[in-house]
Amino acid sequence: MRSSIFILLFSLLQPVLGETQRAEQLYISQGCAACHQINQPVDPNKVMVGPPLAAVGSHYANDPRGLETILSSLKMGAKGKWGQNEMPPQSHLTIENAEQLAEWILTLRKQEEPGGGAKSGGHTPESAFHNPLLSEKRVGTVVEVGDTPVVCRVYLEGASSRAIAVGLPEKQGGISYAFDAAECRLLYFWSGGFIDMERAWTGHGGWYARLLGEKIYQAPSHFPLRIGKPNEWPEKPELVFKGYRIVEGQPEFLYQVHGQEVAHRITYQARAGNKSASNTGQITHHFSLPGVTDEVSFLPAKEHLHYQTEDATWSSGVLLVHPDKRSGFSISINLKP
Amino acid sequence: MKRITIHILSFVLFAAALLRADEHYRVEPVDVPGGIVMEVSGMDYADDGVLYLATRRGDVWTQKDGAWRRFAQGLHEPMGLVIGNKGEVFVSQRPEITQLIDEDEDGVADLYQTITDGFSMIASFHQYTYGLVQDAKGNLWGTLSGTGKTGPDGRPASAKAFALEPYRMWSFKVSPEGEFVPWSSGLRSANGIGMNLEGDLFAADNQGEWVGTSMLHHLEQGDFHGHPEALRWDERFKDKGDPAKLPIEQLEKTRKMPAVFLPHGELSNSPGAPICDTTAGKFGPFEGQFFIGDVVHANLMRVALEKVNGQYQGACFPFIKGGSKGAGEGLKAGICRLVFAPDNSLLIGRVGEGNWNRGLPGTGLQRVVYSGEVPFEIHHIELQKNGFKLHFTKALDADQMLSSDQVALSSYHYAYHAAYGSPKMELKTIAVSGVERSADGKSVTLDVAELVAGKIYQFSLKSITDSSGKALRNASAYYTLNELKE
Repeated sequence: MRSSIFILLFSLLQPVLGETQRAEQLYISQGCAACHQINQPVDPNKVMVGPPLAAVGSHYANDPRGLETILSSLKMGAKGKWGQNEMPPQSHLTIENAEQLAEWILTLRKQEEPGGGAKSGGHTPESAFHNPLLSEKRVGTVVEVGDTPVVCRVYLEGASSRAIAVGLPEKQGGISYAFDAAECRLLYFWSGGFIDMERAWTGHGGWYARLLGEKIYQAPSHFPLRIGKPNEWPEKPELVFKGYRIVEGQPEFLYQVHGQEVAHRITYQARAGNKSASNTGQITHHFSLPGVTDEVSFLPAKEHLHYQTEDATWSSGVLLVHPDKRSGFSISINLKP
Repeated sequence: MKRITIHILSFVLFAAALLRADEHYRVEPVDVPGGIVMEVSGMDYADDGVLYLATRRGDVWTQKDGAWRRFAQGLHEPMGLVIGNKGEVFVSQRPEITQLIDEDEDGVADLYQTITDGFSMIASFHQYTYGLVQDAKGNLWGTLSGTGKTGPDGRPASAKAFALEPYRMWSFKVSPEGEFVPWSSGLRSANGIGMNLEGDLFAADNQGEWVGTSMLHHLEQGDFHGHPEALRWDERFKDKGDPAKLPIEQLEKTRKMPAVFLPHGELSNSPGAPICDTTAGKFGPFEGQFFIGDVVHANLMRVALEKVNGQYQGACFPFIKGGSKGAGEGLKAGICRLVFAPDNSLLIGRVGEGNWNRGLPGTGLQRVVYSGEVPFEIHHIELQKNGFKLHFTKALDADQMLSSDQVALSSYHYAYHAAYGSPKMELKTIAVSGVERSADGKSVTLDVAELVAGKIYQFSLKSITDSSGKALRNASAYYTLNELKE
């Protein structure tokens, strides 16, 4: 009986101990131990290059930015927070390892502090960043997509200043794309992680988000819709961005082209049998142009892409939308395997 | 289960013991959700008592009865939020003014509707879209800060601000139809906007180049508030080259003086948005006056204006000072936005770090609660032909002899120049030649040796008590004299 209770207790504790042990292994294997002790130096004559990690954990214990600060120091390097020795950027750390180390450091407490230590529980930084009030996860300044899409206005590379980053959850492709609110068009897709807001959120802020992945598709640089006959098309369409509506979690972009209302959704379908984050899926534009009567055309990219639609047919190098589909049609782009 | 317990512990943080109080104003902590970086950049209450709160990280939160919920997300560094006359939620974010609409009424916005993006913006740390207030006609008002030079890594390359894009450094109006109207120019970085009981608009510019000290401006159409960069977009100065190279005499002539200078270091460093006391006395005897917080100093200031020759001018006073004894004990820095709560307390939104902080921490909320006991303060200062009339909130001790020794008065001005900030120029003591108490004991008229337009008059009162023998709660004041009384 007693032994079974012990086993039960042990198995309950196991995951907690496991995480701590993994972090302690990282502390050794990733080279932290070369400069940092975990607790205060046992031998006061031994000079350590960096602060004891327990002192760092105590210092940031109640700071909602603590995790972010430690992650930033690991990523960017640090100087001046704890003496004048400089810690170089720990660029060999993967994001996962850096997160695990930072979360572990935050559980450490200086020994003189009662109630400290890794097993004391309470307000842990992990709980802080798996925040039930947020649908996404914020690990420091890294934004990770949860079960619903994240729509985030921020400066993005290759965009005008009015850009929108969209991160889709696994069930919607687990991929991210950028939309330009000034040009009312898709810019690109990337796979991997979503974004790091460090330069937008910390310091003076006001700078570009970093894409945490690889671009897998670059949209053509023109606005793709044309209304009316080809000889009536203006050189540059007159566009007015009107915002976006969240429909089942995903944004539907709203804009006007020559006064015609457009609602534009962009979805991604991973190719069957392939992992969602690969570059072989299908991007689909869903357009809604309520009340439109004129001809509607979709201008493809100059380079060869594999378009697929049942709502339009090729005509003089453009996809001419069937008259009965003008108010609502879809055009897909199959990415090369 | 363990995680749920942790969450409950994290998010049900009960109010700590009340911070140090004085008998008039008490500073209290206000809980925010755990684990959220709550850099408050916009706040307003809806008629149903729900607080809407925007943060620099792009979230809009709602709170009622201590329950927090995220109403909107992913805005581009919003720096203003106002609840419209019809209950609409408007935010000013970097690229645009946006209305957030909860179409299915589930407490979360579904429609992010662009009201206007009729101004330029580029990637620059300093390009804030500050706001917002709405007037009775439904116009929205805000200000656009200047562009900061940014290095290739996104970090600031210079403290100087520019306005190479229209309409940076201008205040603006957005009509109910969504038309963007540039309104007044020359604001370097006026962090927020306020409206008084008369519907007149004010914004506090932050000290910097061409801004000798922080200053509260009255914004009227066509005004030029002093930073010449903005004149690039003024029809009068079109095609006149680099406006910073215009003759200083011409700039001085064009410039409208601020209603009140906010002394740098003593009261202010980086003021936030002014909020007009609309509580009809429920926050103390200051109805119609402005309160302004400071991002760097843990300070609340009070501003009482009057009109002389049709122009606003007046005095600023310390109200609560962080770190001082009494009421200010618990006030913290980072103060960016203020709003009066339905219970007539003053909610303080702290924007904290980022561009706003010099090593002082500071995000989240506090509030100031009025006890109902009238504080003994200088209520306002009224310019006279030969001096000033100081109006008090209570009658002075009738038995007390008053002499000019009890008033230390000095005058100075701040330089108007391209350099960053200014020391006090031509600081000198001004003799007080007469002190006269009014019949009701609630005001004192001072005759002074000289009055010069364009000067700030700094008052420091000593040994003045009310009928109960109590000293003034704040004994200093700074009057900006732009217009002399005829």
